[in-house]
Amino acid sequence: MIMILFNLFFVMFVVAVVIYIWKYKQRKREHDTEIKKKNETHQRELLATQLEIQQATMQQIGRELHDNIGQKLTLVSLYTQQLLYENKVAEVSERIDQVSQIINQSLQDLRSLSKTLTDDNINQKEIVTLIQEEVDNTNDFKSCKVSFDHNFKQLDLDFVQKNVLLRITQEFIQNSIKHAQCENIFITLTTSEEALWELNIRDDGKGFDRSNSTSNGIGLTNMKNRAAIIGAEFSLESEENKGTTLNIILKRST
Amino acid sequence: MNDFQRFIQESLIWVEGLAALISLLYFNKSKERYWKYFSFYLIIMFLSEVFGKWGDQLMDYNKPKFFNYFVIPLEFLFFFWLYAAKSLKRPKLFYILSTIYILSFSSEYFFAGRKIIFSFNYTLGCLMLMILVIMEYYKQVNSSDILNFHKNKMFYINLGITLFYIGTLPFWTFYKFIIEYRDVYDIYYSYFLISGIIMYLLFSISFIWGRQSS
Repeated sequence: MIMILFNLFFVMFVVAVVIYIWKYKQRKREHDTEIKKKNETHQRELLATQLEIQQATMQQIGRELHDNIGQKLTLVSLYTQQLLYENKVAEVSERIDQVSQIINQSLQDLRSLSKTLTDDNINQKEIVTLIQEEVDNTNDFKSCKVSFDHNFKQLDLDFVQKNVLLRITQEFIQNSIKHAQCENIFITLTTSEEALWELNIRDDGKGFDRSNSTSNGIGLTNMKNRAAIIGAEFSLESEENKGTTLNIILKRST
Repeated sequence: MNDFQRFIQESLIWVEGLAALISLLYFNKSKERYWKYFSFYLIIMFLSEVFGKWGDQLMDYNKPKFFNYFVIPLEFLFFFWLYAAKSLKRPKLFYILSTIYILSFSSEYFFAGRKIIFSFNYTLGCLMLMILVIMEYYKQVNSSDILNFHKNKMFYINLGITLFYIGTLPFWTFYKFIIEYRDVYDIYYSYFLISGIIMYLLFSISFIWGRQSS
């Protein structure tokens, strides 16, 4: 009777210890996932902020180039024109003409650079227009035929999402042309009830073996990171001699 | 009592002294006041034990009465207070349990004739302490603080109390039975001494590893 009681106490003690350890592990797991989630959100916000800062800096530089250096170069150009017109020192007029031409050339370069930098393309244009422009640009090179399909007319996306979609598309097209020697690239952007959007890009190039690719390219990691910024699912499949397929889905948040 | 048991019994008092000493070393690091009382408690326990061992050389006194009516009640009342009032933050529970415990001394009249149960109020005290230990256990298991259990003083104290008071409850409750079976008695008596040492070591650890703010 006493032994039974003691054994009972002992069993209860062991059970209590086991429950304690189990609960500890459970709580530890919860704690870890919480921290992981927090880190992910933090990372995402950080990257989004980085993108915004990048954009703002570029615009600032672009404006500065246009308003300051651009004005000065215009002035210099005017002076040289004047020198040419006055023709005071005839033997150097040819040189002056050359200088004037270089200045005009620089001014043109500067203007186009400033335009690219301040270009608020991504903010102002629809994602479909942006991708279409990219497709048209690529098709002009005639090295690869790109087709683009979409199943909607208008899709309101914020800057970060549009930026990510555009950059990933650009990256993929560049890689396909550079490394895959493909003939066709097919881009589809669709929207459905479950997914806010789904981007699918496929090429018919020579593909690569992911497990075998030594460099695990920066481009690939970049694409993956960009998708992670907006919390989209990223998947890339590639098979040698069969081409590469990229699929990115952003689920609708309920 | 064999040599081994005599040796641990001798050690027990010094382990108590060690616990009291360590608690003194950490005395000023405890921010909460009640941990200072825990220090006092350990010191009083050590002094009582010393007095119980060598006191009869100084003066004549009734040793069983000293333990039964002073040391043991002090132990129980202190732990009721520490568990119910401080850890579980239910002062009412402390008053209720203390009242029941003190009232149980009157039961000595009823049980005076038949000494089957070694000491009714000791058993009752242990049972009530067991309830508090279980409540404390539930509190720890269901709190998110379980992640920092190694910094929780109450974790070590709870473990020590469980091993010593709860573990030896059947032993003292059925002392009269057990004493007839020498083997069982020997093993259980060794357990009683070892768990006592472990408990005081855990009390010391609680001061060393326990978070000072809790």
